[in-house]
Parts: sequence; structure tokens; C-alpha cells
Amino acid sequence: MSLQYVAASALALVLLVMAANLLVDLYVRAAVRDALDEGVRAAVPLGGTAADCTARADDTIQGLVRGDLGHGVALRCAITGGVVTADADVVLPAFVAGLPGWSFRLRAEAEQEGPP
Amino acid sequence: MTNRRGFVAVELVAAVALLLVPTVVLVASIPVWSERRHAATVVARETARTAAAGWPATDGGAVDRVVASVADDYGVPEGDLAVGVAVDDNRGGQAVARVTVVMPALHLPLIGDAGAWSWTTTYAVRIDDYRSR
Repeated sequence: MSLQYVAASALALVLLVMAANLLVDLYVRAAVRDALDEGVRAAVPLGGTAADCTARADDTIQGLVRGDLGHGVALRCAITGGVVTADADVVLPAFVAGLPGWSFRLRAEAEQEGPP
Repeated sequence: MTNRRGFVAVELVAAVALLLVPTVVLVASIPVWSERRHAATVVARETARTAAAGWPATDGGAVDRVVASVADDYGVPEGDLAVGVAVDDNRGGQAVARVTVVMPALHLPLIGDAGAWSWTTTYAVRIDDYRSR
């Protein structure tokens, strides 16, 4: 077994970890989208509040994403002009030291029900 | 004994080309299908709700705004969504939204999409039996 083989194997493993990192990050992004969607739906009925939205979104994200990944998700809701909006700022760490993390912002919105 | 100089390099290139790249392409493509399916579901739900809320008005402006808003939130080009809404004239009827979204067959990060198929969903909201006009 040569040094060349060891280096090639290590590089292949790093690439595999990066692929796994991408997969996990995409899962978290989908989970955050689901949480935002659940949140706005909770506040859509007449009388729904931003607190209802935040509570539902938090519950959803805590059920889907835990640990360090979950700590990088900041959710907030607001109701403005009859529209419920939920925003999330997400910062995901890189699995490979030295590589930058992935940060992005997601939003969901829906029109709140009014009196008939 | 066979000269093995360069053997690992060839093996690594082959592994990357035949195993890693297809895996990355699949990893990048499958979540896009899921996201677009979710986006289409949300577009259908919100457009049906908006159409039912606006009943009996038939102005499509509100529906168009909802489609644009949700498409923007999900990062789906509006051109990849085909939305049709049918609203009954009578109370007790339904507002039905039918949404077809284009799914990229392969999503190549930093390069683009290759091939496409489409997925369709519908969502119906009942117009209240005692709704005022």
C-alpha cells in the first residue's frame, strides 16, 4: 500500500462526507420549509396570531431537526395587512473543517381568513 | 511484476466519475423533486383558498399574485407552473385549483437542469353554503 493510495482513499472519503453534508443540508432545508408552512397554516384561521404561527413552526422544526443543526434555525412570524408570513434564517455548519457553512433565508406566506 | 505507477490515479478518477458524480447528481436532484412537489401543493392550496375567499368575483388578479408569491418563496420560476382555477357559481360548490409543475429530471449543481417531467396536483375548497355574495 503506497502513500498515494492512502491519500487517494482519504480524498475519496472527504468527497463522500461532502456528499453526505449536502444531503443533510437539503433535508434540513425541506424540514424548515415544512415548518414554515405549518406555521402560517396555524395562523390562517380567523383570530390566529403570530404566536400561534411561531409555536407551530417551532414544534414542527423541533420534531424534524435536532442538535446543532436545529440550533442554526431561527424562525419568526408576523401578520401584516391580513397576510401571515413566516421567515427562517438558517445557518448550517460544514461537516469538513475549513469549509464554509451554508446560510440561507426561507419564507412562507398565506392570506389570513377574514369574516364572511 | 506489473508496473503499477499511476494505478491509483486512474482508479480514483474512475471512482469519482462512475460512483461519486452520479451519487451527487441524484442527491441534488431528488430533493428538488420533493421541493417542487411541495411548492405545487402549496400553490394549489393557496390559489383555491384565494379563489373561494374572493367568490363570487372572478378577477384572477388575486390568484396571480398568490401564484407569484408562492413561486418566489420556493424559488420556482413562474414559467414552470401551470395553474388553472375553476370556481362554481353557486354556494356549496367548489373552487378547484389544478397545478402542474415542471420537474427537472436531473439537477446539476452550478451547471443547470437536464431533461424534465411534470407533476400535477389539485386542491378543492368548498364555498360556504350560507356565504353572502
